[in-house]
Amino acid sequence: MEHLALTIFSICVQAAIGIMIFVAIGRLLNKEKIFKNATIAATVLGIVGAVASLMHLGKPFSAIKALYQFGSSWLSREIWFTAIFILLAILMVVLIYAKPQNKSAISGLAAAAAVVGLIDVFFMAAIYSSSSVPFWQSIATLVEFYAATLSMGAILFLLLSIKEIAEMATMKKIIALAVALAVILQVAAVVPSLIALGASSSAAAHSSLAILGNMAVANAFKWIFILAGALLLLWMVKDELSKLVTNIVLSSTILLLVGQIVGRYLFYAAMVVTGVGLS
Amino acid sequence: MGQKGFYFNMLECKGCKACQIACKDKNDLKVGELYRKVMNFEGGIYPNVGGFYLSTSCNHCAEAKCVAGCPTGAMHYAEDGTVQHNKDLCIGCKYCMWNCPYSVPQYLEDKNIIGKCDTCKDLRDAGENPACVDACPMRCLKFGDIDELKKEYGTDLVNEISVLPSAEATKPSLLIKANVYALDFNYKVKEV
Ligand code: SF4
Ligand code: SF4
Repeated sequence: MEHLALTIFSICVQAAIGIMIFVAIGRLLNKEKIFKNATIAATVLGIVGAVASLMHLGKPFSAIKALYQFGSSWLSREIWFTAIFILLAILMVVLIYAKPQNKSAISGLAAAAAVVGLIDVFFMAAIYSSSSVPFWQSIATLVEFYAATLSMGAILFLLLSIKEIAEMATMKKIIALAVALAVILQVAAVVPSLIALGASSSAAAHSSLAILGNMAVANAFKWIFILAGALLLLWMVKDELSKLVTNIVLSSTILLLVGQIVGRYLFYAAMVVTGVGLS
Repeated sequence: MGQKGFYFNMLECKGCKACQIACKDKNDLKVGELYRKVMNFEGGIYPNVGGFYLSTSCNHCAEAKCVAGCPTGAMHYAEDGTVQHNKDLCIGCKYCMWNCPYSVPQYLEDKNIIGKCDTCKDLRDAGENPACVDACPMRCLKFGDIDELKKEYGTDLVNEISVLPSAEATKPSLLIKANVYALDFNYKVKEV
């Protein structure tokens, strides 16, 4: 249950940030486009993620206290930035409905939310890479988080804005490139980190590997789904730059999302702290 | 004020677990919750085999990762040089459980917050020893100022042994009089 709450939280918030990045880029490329569906989706995902993160707390109603230690705690910093991101997204939705003619303000908010989000992903990764869990202490954590953010964001944005970007060839290229790059980086970061984990003398590192080994089927699913989703998208964008096929976009979105979600669940499930302990 | 911590004499410890039980009783801990634990390790290849007992608890680290990571400030350095936990601030996010290399913070299911060794602050304020220290029939455990404990119990004390994580991470305020097996980092040991 705990892994599930954290999986939902991190996947939803990262997907929301990813979508917002592409909304900001899209608005930069074409000032007339609104990307209403994508903006609303990013906002809802952010809120769902934040609620899920509360489920993981022993005292959800005291969550506000987690804002106290911005100066020292990565977790506190991440909560601040997630909160600011969600506020900016909500503000955007309000403006889209209340003052749609104020395009530059909305675009400004999108850019601000995207930047806050990008920093937030760094904080999220730091929470884990600075902990005492060898499996998390690698650069792969940071790369995987950014890769998940970009790939999920790109593909969800595409699905949600399929009509609006029909004529935006550059945007489609950027999306395809982003997914390809993210997935390549993800593979490139994870393989050496697993090898390093195997070579480590830490018992905790080996316990994590053993857990991953027991879940090898799920791990295989993660990669097959992520790669299949990315390949499907690339193949389509290559051939059908002019007309995107909704069914194929949908299939590749589902594949990629399932892959990232399974992968994130494994990330939490394989958590083993260093050394001997009281528990 | 100087760093405070525990001294543990492995050479005398008989593994009776009196400290663990005194601690559990003092803190009224439930099944599965421990603020101090005695472990038994053995290893080696015949005929060169041996083992040791280890009584561990919070090490009141000088660079405590639990303190650095805590988003609420519940984990904090007290004025007397110990690492203390404020129950009113804790929101049960469990981040300290990921951060402490010694797996010290315990999630108390009935309270929805974390708990850990507070060095029996109430007893110490009344001029007494922590419960574990007084419970040990072999007098293996001491609590006090690290520098003074060093002066009293010798220079061969360590804050890292083969089964413990690197002391570099948190600078634990821990002094162990260790035997040769505990000090041999190539010695394959396992908990029994
Ligand atoms: S042993 Fe763990 S809980 Fe205790 S002070 Fe060190 S890091 Fe914190
Ligand atoms: S569980 Fe409590 S003590 Fe531990 S990091 Fe969270 S707020 Fe701090």
